[in-house]
Amino acid sequence: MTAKALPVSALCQECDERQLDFDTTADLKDLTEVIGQARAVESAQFGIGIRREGYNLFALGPTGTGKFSLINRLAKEKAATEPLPNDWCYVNNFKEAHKPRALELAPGLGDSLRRDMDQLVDDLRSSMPAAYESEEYRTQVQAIQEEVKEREESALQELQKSAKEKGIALIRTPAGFAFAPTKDDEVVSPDEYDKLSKTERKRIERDVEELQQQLQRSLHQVPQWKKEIKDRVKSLDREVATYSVSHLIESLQEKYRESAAVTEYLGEVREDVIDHLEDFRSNEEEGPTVLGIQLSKAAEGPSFNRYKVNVLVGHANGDGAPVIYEDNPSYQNLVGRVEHLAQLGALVTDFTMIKSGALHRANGGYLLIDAQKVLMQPYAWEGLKRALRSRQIHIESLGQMLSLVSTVSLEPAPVPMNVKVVMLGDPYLYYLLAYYDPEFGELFKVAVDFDDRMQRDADSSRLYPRLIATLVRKEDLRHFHRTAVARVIEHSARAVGDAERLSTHMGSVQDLLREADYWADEAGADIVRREHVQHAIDSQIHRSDRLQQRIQEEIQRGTILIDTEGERVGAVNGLSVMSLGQYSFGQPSRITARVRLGEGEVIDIEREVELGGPIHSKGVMILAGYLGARFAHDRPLSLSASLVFEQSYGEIEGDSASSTELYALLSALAEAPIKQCFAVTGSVNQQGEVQPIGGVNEKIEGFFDVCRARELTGEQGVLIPESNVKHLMLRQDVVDAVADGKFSIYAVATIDEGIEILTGVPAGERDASGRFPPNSINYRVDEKIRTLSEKMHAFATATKGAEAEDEKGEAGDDEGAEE
Amino acid sequence: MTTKAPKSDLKVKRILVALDASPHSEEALEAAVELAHSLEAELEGIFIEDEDLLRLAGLPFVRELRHFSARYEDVSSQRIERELRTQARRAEAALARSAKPRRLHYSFRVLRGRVEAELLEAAEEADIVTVGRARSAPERTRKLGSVARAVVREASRTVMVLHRQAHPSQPVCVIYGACGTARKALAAGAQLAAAQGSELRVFIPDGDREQAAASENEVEEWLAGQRFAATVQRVAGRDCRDLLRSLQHYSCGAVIVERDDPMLGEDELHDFLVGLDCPVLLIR
Repeated sequence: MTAKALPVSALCQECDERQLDFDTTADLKDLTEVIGQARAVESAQFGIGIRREGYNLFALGPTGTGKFSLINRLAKEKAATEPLPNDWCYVNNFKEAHKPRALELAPGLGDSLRRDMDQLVDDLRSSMPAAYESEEYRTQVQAIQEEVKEREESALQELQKSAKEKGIALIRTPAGFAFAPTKDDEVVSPDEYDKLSKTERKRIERDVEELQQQLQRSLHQVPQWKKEIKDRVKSLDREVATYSVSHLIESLQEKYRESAAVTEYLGEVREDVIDHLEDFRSNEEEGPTVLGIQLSKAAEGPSFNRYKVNVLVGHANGDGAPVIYEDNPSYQNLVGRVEHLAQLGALVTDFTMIKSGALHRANGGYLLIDAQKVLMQPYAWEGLKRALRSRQIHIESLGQMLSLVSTVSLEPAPVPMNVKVVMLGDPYLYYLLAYYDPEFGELFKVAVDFDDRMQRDADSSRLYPRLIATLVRKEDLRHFHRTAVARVIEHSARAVGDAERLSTHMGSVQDLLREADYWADEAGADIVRREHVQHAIDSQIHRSDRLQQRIQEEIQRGTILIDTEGERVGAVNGLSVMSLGQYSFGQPSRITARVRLGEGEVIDIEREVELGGPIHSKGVMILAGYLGARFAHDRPLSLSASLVFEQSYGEIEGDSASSTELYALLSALAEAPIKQCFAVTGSVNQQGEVQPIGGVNEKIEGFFDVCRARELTGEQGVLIPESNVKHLMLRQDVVDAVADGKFSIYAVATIDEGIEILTGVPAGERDASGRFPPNSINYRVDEKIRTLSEKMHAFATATKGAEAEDEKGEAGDDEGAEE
Repeated sequence: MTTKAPKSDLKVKRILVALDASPHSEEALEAAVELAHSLEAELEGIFIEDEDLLRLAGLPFVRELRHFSARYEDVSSQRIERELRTQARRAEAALARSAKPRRLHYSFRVLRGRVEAELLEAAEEADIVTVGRARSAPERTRKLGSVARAVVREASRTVMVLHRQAHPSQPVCVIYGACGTARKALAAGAQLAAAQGSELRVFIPDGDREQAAASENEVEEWLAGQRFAATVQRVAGRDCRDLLRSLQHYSCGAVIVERDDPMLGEDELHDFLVGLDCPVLLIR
């Protein structure tokens, strides 16, 4: 039953160059489909195709798996078959200026309406002053004014006439009128007046009094007449304005008759122009100024801005529905914003300062956003959900949304929304949202799940080179020779740590291709060959392996105590993996076990000092289970064992060392020395079966590097779980050493297999009588446990006897005390 | 055409303008300033305190109906005098405001008495008396004010009847009649045209053909002598109405006519003055 070392062929699933029926990637066609993401493609097609509420997509997968390019491509393909969405404009609301009106127009008409309205204002500004300066208009105004003036004059003249008949003159004084008696067209002087007879004076005074009353009556009517002029001139002005504006508006209404909203708006424009005709009469271009500072017309005085059209989204020249990727999905970039203009310290705004958001631009089409960015932007996620739920885009500032400010701002009319939103993100974000946000499931019903690996089979071996060819052409790289392609494929399998799988992480494949191209360029090669790819891989490792080298050095210098020769009781070389960013490497560490009499607990020192994680603790507890069931099923397990990772000062997690710990424990119990030329990895269950672990390649290479640095003896090797054999994609130098018989890799399925290799002593099976063969490891363990158990029993009995004596004595004292 | 002013028989040294404080008077002032500037003459502004007003203030029962409030208030001499002084000050200020920017020599006097009499008396010392067309009556009524009428009728000097609409760029039109002052009119026209840089047109009424031919010769000769270019043409001008109709065809910047032209009786002159849309210089 002794396990054999693995053959060389099992150590690395090389890519058979003979199966690659091309010379370089130049011979290969571009790959149009996405490989290895069948589920994602299917989900995405379904999600993009279905036009129902809540069927938005969440593309989940690790960064670099090609989520964006796949979704973008599928969305664009679908969008090209869909109609161009309508234009949206904001225009002034003449009734409630703070609630700008939203107008929907056929594609391209938004911009045309904007130009037409600008033209209309220009036309009115030239035609209206002209109309008011025309001879016809002036004549009519003059006629009205003169009519009243004549009334006034004739009233005065009449009065003057009747006064004259009585020898009295109407005289203008500096501040008004007065009546005075005359003689020879001259006012009678006071002296002369005094000389007149009393009756004469009385007559004059009476006449004057009467005339004065008449004059007063006439003058009282003057303001009335003046108001009449004003009203008549005003209505004439309106007539002129109506005449000037109506035909212009009517021709526009004819042009935009398809849209009832636009026609209605144009009607309101006409009324507003007539109401504000004074604005059009003056030709002044200059706005008002305060202390020489030019004020915008929006702030004071006539403003023609209110006739402008703010084209929020225009589709003048486009084909198909929009596909928008919003790079910075902040709240305002999504739902749009209202900008303000600082004017003498005050902030002012109007509907022309409304700016569109990504949702506006994507309306009628697709919006792609990065989930993490949305979630990191304050309130962006809330804003997005609100829009999706209400199917409308409300432009509100954050202050308004949170009711923090109540200053006057705009409340633009909401725009109906029909956008399919695709969020792209890491799987953990998807699961977090699904768990914590009750609305998420309602709004993002389609999960597009991207895998980071794919099956490595004949089909994929055919497609993968084409994928490489496509990327090479896309990146404009040198073409890859088939040997180079083979190396890329092997590395892709190694990247996912599985000989039967390939990586679908396009990002890292692309990086490797670019770097290989660089090294080919450095070497002056026309095409990229295997050695260039290898160079790229080596240099990638070299750039990040400083810490690994440091640890290796410390092992060589004897600072970290690792033996690769000789034997030790209760000590085994374990293997762990360290991950630093993208790079991970294996590292051996010594695991030791000591046993003594105890109550059946296996002490994990790592856990006692809180450096061991829960999974590690679980692995250790399984050991106790295994020992108890196998060796002490009928008696108490009377031992206390302690396990430790020597020289480990950081946290340890994972159960991949549990088999190693068991070997150390068994060695300690059996007092059987373990060969230090081996390193071990693998977890174990309570049945003693060795289970697979991760990072097998890195672990093997980690021990190999230590051994090679000291000299390969041919004895050295690594024990791995049998179920990890399919994951082997070892480095070429490891494979070569194994081929030369200088290094070995053993696949073990059970603890018994492993302990045999490590100690060179058979493990031993229970025979029919339930006893292990003498001198086998299990026999020695069994004996040890039995001995410990008996010692414990003896110890316990002795202690109990002593305690019983004590109790008796105490009880007697008590009785005595009572008596 | 030369712009050099010909030697003139018309020696204009002083131009008289009567001012009150009305907006209309300010327009007349503008026109007078323009004229004085063109002719390089001194401008004399006068303000006449109406004696009638002062007398009226002395009458015990007279009350004044105030503008705007339309209420009667008692009149006192002090108040009338104060108001007149204020008006005079404003008139003087208006004169200064108009004359100073043109660097015009000007003087201002306040007179007291009957308006027409005082004005005519003051006119004796001036070379040209300017009068506004209407004192505050609307244009439509087409009447000369009583003061203007009196001045036109009685002044022994050349009178300029000002008009609200002055068109300095339009041609200066001279009616070359048969009185002794015709040459003076022609010379004034030439001087004004040269000063304004506008064209000079000489109209010769052809009521009497022989006379007209003789006049034409005289004009040509004078112009040749002065080396001054002008358009000379005959117009239908048997009587005043005829002449007015003829002139209305042309756009005139100013019309210069002899005051003593036999065609212009008192009523005809009045119609002639109100019928033209430009200032009229009545040469005497």
